[in-house]
Amino acid sequence: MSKLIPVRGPYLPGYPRSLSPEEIKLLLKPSLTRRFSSSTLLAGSMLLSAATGCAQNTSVAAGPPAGQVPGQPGKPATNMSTLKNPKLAREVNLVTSEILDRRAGHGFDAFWSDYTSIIARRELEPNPPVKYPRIPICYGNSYNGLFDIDTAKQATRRLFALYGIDLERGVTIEGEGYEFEADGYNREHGVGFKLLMPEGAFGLMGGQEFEAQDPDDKLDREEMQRLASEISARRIQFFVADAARFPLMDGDQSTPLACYMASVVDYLNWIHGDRHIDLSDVLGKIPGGVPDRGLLELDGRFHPPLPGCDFETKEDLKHWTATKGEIALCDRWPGFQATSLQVTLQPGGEAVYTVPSGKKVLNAPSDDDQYSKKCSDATFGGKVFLADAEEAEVVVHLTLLGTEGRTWTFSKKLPRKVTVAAVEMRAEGPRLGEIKGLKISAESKGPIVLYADTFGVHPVKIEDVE
Amino acid sequence: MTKECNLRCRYCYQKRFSNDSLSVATAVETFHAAAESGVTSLALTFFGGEPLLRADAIFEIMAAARHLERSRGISVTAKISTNGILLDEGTLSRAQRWGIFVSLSIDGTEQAHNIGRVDRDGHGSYEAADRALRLLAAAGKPFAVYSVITPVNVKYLADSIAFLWNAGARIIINTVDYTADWTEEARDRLERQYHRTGRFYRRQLERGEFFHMDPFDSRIPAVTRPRELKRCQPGLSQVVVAPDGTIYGCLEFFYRRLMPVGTSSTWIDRRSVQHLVQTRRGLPVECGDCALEGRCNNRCACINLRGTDTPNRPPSSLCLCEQATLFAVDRTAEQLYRKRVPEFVLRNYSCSYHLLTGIERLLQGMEKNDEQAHTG
Repeated sequence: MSKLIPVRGPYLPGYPRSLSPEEIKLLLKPSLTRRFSSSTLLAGSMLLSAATGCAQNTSVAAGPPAGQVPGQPGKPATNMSTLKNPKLAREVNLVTSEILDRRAGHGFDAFWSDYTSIIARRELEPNPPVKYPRIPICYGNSYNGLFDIDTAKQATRRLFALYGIDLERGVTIEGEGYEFEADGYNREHGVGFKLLMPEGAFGLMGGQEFEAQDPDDKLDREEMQRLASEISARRIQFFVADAARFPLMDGDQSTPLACYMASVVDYLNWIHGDRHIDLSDVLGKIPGGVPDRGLLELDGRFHPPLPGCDFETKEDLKHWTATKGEIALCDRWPGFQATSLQVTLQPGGEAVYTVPSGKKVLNAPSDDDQYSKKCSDATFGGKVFLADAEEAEVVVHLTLLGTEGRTWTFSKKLPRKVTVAAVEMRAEGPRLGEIKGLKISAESKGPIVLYADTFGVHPVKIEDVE
Repeated sequence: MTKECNLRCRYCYQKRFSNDSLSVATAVETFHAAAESGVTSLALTFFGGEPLLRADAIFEIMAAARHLERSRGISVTAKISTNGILLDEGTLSRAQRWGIFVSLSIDGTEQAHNIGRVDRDGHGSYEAADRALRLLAAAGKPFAVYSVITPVNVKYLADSIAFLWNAGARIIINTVDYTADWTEEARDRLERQYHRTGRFYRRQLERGEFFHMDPFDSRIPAVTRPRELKRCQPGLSQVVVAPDGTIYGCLEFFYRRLMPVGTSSTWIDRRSVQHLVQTRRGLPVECGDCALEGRCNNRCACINLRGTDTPNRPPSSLCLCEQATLFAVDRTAEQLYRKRVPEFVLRNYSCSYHLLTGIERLLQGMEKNDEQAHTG
């Protein structure tokens, strides 16, 4: 027997069943909102307000007057802020804890919280900044993609509901120069939210794919500017955050979700008139806030880069030369920092690094030697992209150049048919003594692109020399 | 007209093809029987198989129908549903001369069309359908296009509607293939696609364009003008004349040889119709609890027979797809209402709109004819 699932409860279309001829006439009568643009209407209302002595403060940074529910000017002041209303704060904590707990259950949960700092970024100028997590990405941890977007949307609806704002899904928001589908909208209060959806591949291996969206559904940057103007003009209130800025590391959903929900609560407090927002605070807890090199603090495994090999300034490029290839700084795969080295090599090409004058690099035991005192290793955290995905095996060589012509080469064979290959080049061998430089080369039929966060040798002693 | 077809569309509800054809004599006999029984208007639909395989017979039948119109004062309208393969300038010109409204079956873009509408060898028929579409658009007379939506081609729906519009189609009828396996995912895709299509529909209405599109122009009036809504009533408002002269309540009854309601020589038998009506009474309890009851296709006996082998129980896919369709339609209508789009308000709430539109289109057609007469 076929399975029928009735739509239960009252369902009424959002348009009337009938209209009298008078109503039709009234409906089609040109109204001011149809005749004039929103900017003209805004200017007109300001003039009128000034003339009648009841002008309101409509400065860009301001939301609705303190204590007012958005879209309902004149309503008695409320106390809807977690900072002022302990009951509301408790309810918010209950909901957020429940959502975060539901995400718990494996060893990696909230793993990155202590190493996370906050990037406060305003998506819409009149709104408070969104707290985006800056989770240190390195080649040792797994950037799986983005956080659980569905859970984030559900959480937003629940948090709005705690403030008395029930959100309807799939409402198309249209205004002067913008049109998009809201993830939640309350018609009565004129407030809603939109999580900007990513497009394309996310994650280290591009493991999470997001389809291109219907242009009518999405809110692009140009439309956001217009929406911001409408918010400034207090015609609408919208919380907007960018889902692509909430990365998922090692399956740790809690960290990005906590940051996201804290942003929603900030916003809800803000539109209810509370301006005292501690932007570094996430749901009452200040995150670890390790600004850079998060792994440095973990267990001392960090290998200091060779001089000029952390690729954070263009000065570093002075120590590099390339034959049949190019070197440049770029912002792809920068590990813990902002930029990385990009090496493009044609077949037979090589890139060579020379230890800068004034520095002496000794491949010698040091106090932080954690592996072995009898041998050394070299590390290269990086990625190699093959230009031709169909190309057969490619071998990348990293050669340490010692004194008196001594060299130490270790090689990595990359699998076939890959466009991205993680290169973890760590090898052990006899110590070289003084290191004068290193060389990157490859055996390939086509060009390769290699990104390096740092180059390091272990154990190492770096000295300043005259 | 015939049970033969030059295509083998993957979703076609006709499962057996043969040379069985309705003769001109049987058709004319039916007209006379209807006239004798007091029928005052006939709305003829020539269908198949592919009816244009028997184009000459269609025009002979039309000649007889027009004669009946003149001699007995019976008003006659006619339309034909064709896949367009045999539609050429000559045939179209004859059809228009006889006042036959042409409906072209085309599923939209090449990808959308060729997935389902294939010939015996499995080759897509898009090229022929597209040629027919251009021909109809160039002829300047109103025509309709019929598109079938399946879980496989639903992803092209919105693009297909835009494509058909740009090619000149102004009356677009979408039919969902309820016999297909519609999963939740496919249902969601249908809703999203209808939502996108709704935007397109809305834009045309905002620009004041004439655009009739089902489901929007059938499902919105189900709310705003329910009394005027003509529900499918097998045996009462429509019948199918089989090649052997037996009359059935509707298509699926004809294919299954189920509950005949008359013959070409005797016209409709009231008792048989009563029996058919009684058989169709009653709906599942679930439908009684549903807020969409009254606007849904759950009462279509043909769909129900195809889906569940019973005229009263809708298939699950219908339930899924109807909800997706109605939610998307309502969202579009709500936006149109909120924006006070005159075309929407008048079309759905004004009593005189449809009369005036009819007159307007008639006058436009007359002007077009005049132009052609002068230039021809």
